[in-house]
Amino acid sequence: MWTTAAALAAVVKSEGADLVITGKQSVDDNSGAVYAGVAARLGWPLVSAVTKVIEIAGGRITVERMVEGAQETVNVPLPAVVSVGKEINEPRYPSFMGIRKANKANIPATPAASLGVASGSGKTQWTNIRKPEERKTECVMIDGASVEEKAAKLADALMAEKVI
Amino acid sequence: MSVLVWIEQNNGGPVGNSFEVLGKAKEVAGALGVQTVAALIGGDAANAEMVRGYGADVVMTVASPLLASYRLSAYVKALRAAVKATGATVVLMAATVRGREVAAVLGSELDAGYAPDVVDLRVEGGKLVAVRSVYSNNILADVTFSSPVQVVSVRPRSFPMPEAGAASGEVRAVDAGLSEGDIKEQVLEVKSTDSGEISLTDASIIVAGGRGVSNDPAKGFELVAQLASVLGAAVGASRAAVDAGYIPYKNQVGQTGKTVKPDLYIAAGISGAIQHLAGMGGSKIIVAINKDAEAPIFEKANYGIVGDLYQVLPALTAEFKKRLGK
Repeated sequence: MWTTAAALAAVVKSEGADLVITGKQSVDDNSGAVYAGVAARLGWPLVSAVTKVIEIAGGRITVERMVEGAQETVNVPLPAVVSVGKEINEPRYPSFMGIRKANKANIPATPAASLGVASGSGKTQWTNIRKPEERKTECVMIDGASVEEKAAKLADALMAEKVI
Repeated sequence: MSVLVWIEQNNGGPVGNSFEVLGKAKEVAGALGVQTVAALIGGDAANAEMVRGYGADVVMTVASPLLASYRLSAYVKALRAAVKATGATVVLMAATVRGREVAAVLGSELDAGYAPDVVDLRVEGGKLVAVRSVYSNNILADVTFSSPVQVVSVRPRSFPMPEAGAASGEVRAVDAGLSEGDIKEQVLEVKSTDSGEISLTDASIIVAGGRGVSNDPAKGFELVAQLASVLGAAVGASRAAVDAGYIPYKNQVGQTGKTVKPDLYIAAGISGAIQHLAGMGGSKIIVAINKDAEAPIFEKANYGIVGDLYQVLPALTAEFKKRLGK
């Protein structure tokens, strides 16, 4: 993950960007680490879990973010890295013209070595990759003449399971 | 050498999930033959006394007026000072929003191996092994490290909450040499969104609603909330309910929401899409309430009621009111 972060940081530098916006985490290994690595390598401030950009003015950005039980309003100087959550925006559908333009877009590829990024081995290794034990349940259907009777039977069962 | 746990503080007190991690950290430290350190950054000095009850060998405090409110760069710097002062080789914290960003930045700055959001930890052949649950909780992987320092964030409720005992362990302090000029973030406002509700990731009981409330969403989620209130439970929702705007995203359970591990999960009007099951399949007991007897949620549930949630939920609320004397 830090090699990826170093490569992205190098590109950000060469592009002269002032603001890097990223998502929350990848959908496969859910690490949520690369943007932190980009910020750390660039030495830029990082604000994660951002739900709203309030203002970009005077070389600073003000955002709202959500943590457990609280909403924070944070202001940092640019350049900065901001990772956003689902609340940030309703994604738009690509337009027909946009799709046509994308077909013809030139996507430059830069070898990692030319960015000065060593594609060395990672600091962690994954082993023993396996399927978790399948959840095996026999669903007990609660029957009853009335909804009250069903509720009482379920309450009996849950109290016997000691989960209430 | 030591195993160090960052004890996160939120709304004035330590976050309970941090103690789950500390409980496991003592086991890991024992197997590695090193000390356990609980690091307390900023906050009230009285909290150090409370932390002493959880059995760390050392409670390391980093105090400064600059740490009064949480700021990522300042907290990472403070934590680095604690890591250095205690020679920590394993750094653990709860995988909360703050825990995950602190761990990632710390790991990156130390060029350390980082395992995020792990669900188990063990020591094998004198080395730390962390277990990750990835690909929507469909794959488990053992993570081993090739760096001298290892950083890990731990998914809440992966380990049992230890009991507090008599205060032990020595309290030490380290100065992180912070200056305001070095801290780039300004916190303009912190608004509590904690209207007494229980957070999903902490909850031992969750009552969740889904697309099945679409006839009258406001009423449906009111019924969900009423049952949750009687049971002392958190309120969850499926993505369908969140996308339809019935309830905010922070309540979403599933692949693109929160992963939860309660003792009891009551799913009302949730069909059980694989993305939802990915987020709550680790629950100890699952109860499904659904009009459709063929809904896939029943395949994963321990108990099922086929019926209309608008009738079943109020009946359950009344029943538990009676039983729990509320």
